[in-house]
Amino acid sequence: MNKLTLHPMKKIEIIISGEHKSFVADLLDKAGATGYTIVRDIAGKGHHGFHEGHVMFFEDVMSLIMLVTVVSPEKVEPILAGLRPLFDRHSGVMFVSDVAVSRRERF
Amino acid sequence: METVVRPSYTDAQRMELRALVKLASEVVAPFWPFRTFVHHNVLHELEYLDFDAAVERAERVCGAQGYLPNEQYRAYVRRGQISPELLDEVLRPLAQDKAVTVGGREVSHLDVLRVHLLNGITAPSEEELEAWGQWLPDPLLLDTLIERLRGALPPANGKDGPETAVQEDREALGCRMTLADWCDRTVGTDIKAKVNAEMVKWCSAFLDEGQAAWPMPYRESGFYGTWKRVVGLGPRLALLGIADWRRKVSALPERPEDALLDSLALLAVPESSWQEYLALHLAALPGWAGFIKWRADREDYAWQLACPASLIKYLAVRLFYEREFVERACQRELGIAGDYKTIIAYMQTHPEAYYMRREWTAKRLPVRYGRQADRLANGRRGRDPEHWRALAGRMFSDAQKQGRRVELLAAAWRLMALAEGLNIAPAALAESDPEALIRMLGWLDEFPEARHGPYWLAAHEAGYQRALVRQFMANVRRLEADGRLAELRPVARPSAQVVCCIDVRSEVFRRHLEAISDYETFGFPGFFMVFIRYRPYGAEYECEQCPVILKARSTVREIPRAYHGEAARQYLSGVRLVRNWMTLFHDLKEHVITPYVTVEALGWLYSLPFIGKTLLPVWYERANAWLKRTVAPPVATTLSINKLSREEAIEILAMEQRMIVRQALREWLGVHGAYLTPELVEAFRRLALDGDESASGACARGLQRLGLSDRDIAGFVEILRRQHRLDSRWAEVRLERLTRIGLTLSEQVQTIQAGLTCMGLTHNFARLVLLLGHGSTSDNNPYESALDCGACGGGQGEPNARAWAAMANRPQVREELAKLGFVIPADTHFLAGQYDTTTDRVRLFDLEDVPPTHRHDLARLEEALKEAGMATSQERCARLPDAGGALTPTQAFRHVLRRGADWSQVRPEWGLSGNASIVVGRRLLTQGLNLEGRTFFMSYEYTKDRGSKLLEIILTAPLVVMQWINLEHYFSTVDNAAARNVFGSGSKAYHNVTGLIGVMYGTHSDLMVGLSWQTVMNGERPYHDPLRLLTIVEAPRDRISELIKRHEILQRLFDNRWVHLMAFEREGASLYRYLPRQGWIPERSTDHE
Repeated sequence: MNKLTLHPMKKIEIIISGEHKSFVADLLDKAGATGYTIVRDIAGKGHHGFHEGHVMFFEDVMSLIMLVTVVSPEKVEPILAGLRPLFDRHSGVMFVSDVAVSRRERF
Repeated sequence: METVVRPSYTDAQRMELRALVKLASEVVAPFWPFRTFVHHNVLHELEYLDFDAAVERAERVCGAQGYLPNEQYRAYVRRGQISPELLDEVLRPLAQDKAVTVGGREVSHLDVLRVHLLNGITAPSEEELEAWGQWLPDPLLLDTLIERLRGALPPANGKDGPETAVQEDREALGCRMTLADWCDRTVGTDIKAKVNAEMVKWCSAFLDEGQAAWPMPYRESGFYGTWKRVVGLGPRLALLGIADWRRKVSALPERPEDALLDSLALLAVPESSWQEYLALHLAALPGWAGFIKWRADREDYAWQLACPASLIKYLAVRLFYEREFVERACQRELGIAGDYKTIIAYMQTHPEAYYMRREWTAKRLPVRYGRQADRLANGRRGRDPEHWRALAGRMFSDAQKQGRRVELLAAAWRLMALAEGLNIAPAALAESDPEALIRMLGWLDEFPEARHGPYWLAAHEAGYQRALVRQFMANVRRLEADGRLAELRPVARPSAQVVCCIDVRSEVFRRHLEAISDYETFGFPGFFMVFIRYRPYGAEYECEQCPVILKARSTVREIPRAYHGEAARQYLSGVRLVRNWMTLFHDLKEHVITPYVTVEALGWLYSLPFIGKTLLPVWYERANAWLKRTVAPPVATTLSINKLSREEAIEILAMEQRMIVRQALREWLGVHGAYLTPELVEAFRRLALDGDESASGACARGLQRLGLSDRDIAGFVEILRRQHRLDSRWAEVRLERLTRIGLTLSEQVQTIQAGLTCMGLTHNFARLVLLLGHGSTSDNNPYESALDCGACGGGQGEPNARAWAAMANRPQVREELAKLGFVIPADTHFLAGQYDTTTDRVRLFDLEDVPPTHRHDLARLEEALKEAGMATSQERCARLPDAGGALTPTQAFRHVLRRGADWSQVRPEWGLSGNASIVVGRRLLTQGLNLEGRTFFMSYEYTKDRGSKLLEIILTAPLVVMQWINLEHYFSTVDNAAARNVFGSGSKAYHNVTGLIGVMYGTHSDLMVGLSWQTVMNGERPYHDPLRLLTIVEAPRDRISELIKRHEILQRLFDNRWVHLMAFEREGASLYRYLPRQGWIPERSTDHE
């Protein structure tokens, strides 16, 4: 078996209200992220108390969503710069962590 | 302007700018193109702020009005709509427990505030004051009063002088005032208007969606790219006075972010105020900016994909114009550079010159100095601040000589006005303690007229709410006395049940229908919770039939009934014929050469509709309908509501493909008759689809007899793939579409179950249950879809009602429902209909499916619907000022028909205006009350709602839609009176459709976002009472609180005071009011009076 080479990358997870989805998705596109995953209608607890999931309406705009993307380290700063003003006004969180991927050319 | 060596921007800078633009755009509401006009709250994205704070922000940034003019509220007081006690109630939290003695009488803080609210005590201009002083019957009294005040009134000390002006404007520049605004205010340029004019031109050309005969070139390169390319082609920029424009345009960066950053750098706007600065620019044309915002968020919008536009691109263009115009104006008029730092420095170095210029531009200088300033500004010396300073010096020293007369005169004027309001003799003022007078003046100062709006609104709302609550509670007491308060539903089986949309217009119709006989009615969102995309028969488009914020889940198509095969073919060819004619005619009209001939030859045709619609609208409408029937005879249709299984879909697809192959074989290879075997067709189909080589043998064998070679076969397969789209990719797409059609059995069961539970219609079904959607008829009305059903995405309710009824009638669905405990009797039939809110007529659909046993019930119901419609027309006509006074039901019924067909009618109906409240609960609570078509009704029974799931849906979906309708009307009413209105769209008479997306005022303006003057105003008076929605929910308080705690959207609506909330509790039969962020208190106005 060939030895698997791993390359260091950064994973960014952004939890935010669904109404800002298109802005964040667009930001990731413009900042050069090649892809992202969206987890819709999530629940959890934060500064503003517990957030429930929703039953059937307005999932897109009203519930919390999480966007996950993996990018090369130099792209982290532009993404953070674009999110900072948003978090100044609206609630949300963001995590950046180290990950490793095997196919670097894909990111 | 010297060239800047452009710094290269980093990605981080660009991304940050994007975020700032996004936040800046919150003040601008997205604008839906009018095809799907939906009512929305124009300040929706500011709902995270308190209502008053959001309004204040909108007033500051957009220059809009957030409340009615104070004078209008005073008119309400005079007409008795707002009672003075209510004013005391709303002012009490503001008034402190303070009082002074004037004229031997105790005058409280509250008294002063009330008189100020009622009379608006703000001193008039200097000239008017002088005139007033001279004509006063008792001049001696005035002199005495002034003398008393002179010692006590602290001097204003240059409160309005140059230092203050500079101080204020320094703070405003960049966040409340753009540099363009500053130039306009200081040197009298019209930069803002000029920039707007350019932007309107570019926006209307670029964003056109097919109205223009010659579309703009290069649109694929995006708004900024296109502008950059096209603006350099002609001398327009030179005509605007931009020097060296060729070089400047060619030096523009590729990326719009960079261009915008360049402009901000050249204007030297401090980074901390970028967001506010960009918001000001977006708010300058909220309609166009709002449309771009809407478009940019739609990833799948075809026009956006073809010609991308975004707010960054828009701002990049806009600020280019601003920076050029500002630079030019500053250089020419003041001899300084046009950037933030220089302008601030100019104000600080030359405060007097700046002050004089500003006052002169605003035409506030006294006449004598105004003339001198005119000469100065128009002469050569105008650029030198020293001359202005000298002028200011002269003016101030003259004022000094006059003493403080004007100031004291103003104070005396205000005191006298106050005394009049308080019923105190003016003479008593001169004898009072000056300290007391000064305190009263202080109270007036603390409560300037600009801050009266929120208090007026609160009083206005309290008036309406009190009347409604009184009516509501009187009914509750009656029910209590009859022992019926706990009654869930009628005990006897009703003649029929009718489910109407929650729309306020249903209120009138339901009330009249209920009065006719024992018809039971329900209120439910007009899309009946059927999330469908609908394609009418013969149409080439699909429309989403659910609230615009939601997404349709399946497609439903209207298809001809099987027995109508021939008629269906005729209909389709008729429709096609009409369409081709229209296209031809349109092309001839828009072509470069042909219009001349076309007008000569066919122009007279236009006179027919013109004369018909103008003089004989009803007759014309009938003739038109007849013509339509003749060309395309109507076909009985049904809806495809059942989902195909994958196997079925594959089989249908294969059948379609075989048809295609058969036809192609005839057409291209001339294969006919016995040669056209099923095997041959099947072999070609497989060959085209999956290149199945084994099939080619069969083809070859079949074609041998025709003498065709292998190459011919290969060529034909290519034709099938290319021209007939017969390949695996297209097959996948088609299959995907086929399987999206219809709803599965469990989806159907779920839809019906949710609907019935929510309405409380779980037992005692009538023999006929009518699902009544609604739509409207009007002509020459770009806002037609605003009158249709908002819950159906601005479409008509017909498809949803038909789909719901069809599902509820399906035996399999009923079997499943019975297993869940919903037993629908076998003799209950669900019927679909549509209520026309303009003509008050009801159309019923799919009558073929009504069992013969129900024909009598149906006839009775039809009769009752007609009668209710007539009574509704009569009631509505009494409210329409031009309907001709009191009409009989028959006359009224005819009149409304005419209104709908009349193309000059600016108010085909006036139904939604007036909306002010929503009741969520049993109909029993409001049955029999005349609520004047101002209340939305949502049927709801909390005892059947385990875990408040349904209430959660009601409060987070229909309530939001109602609130949007309500606030759209609110803002369109309060900001429609001025010549420059931001929220309302002005008079319909000046509306012109642009780009097939919206209307402009005249030929050149912002896109008009709100409702027209005619919709909300009656002459100069508001017809719609601008009130925030009052929600009354019949449910225990803790259930509602629980939901508020769970949903941020509800916290925003109720805690930030965008919607009022009350809860009615069946236990104890009492009403509670929700106080924002505090909780519930018993509603006081419910006490017996």
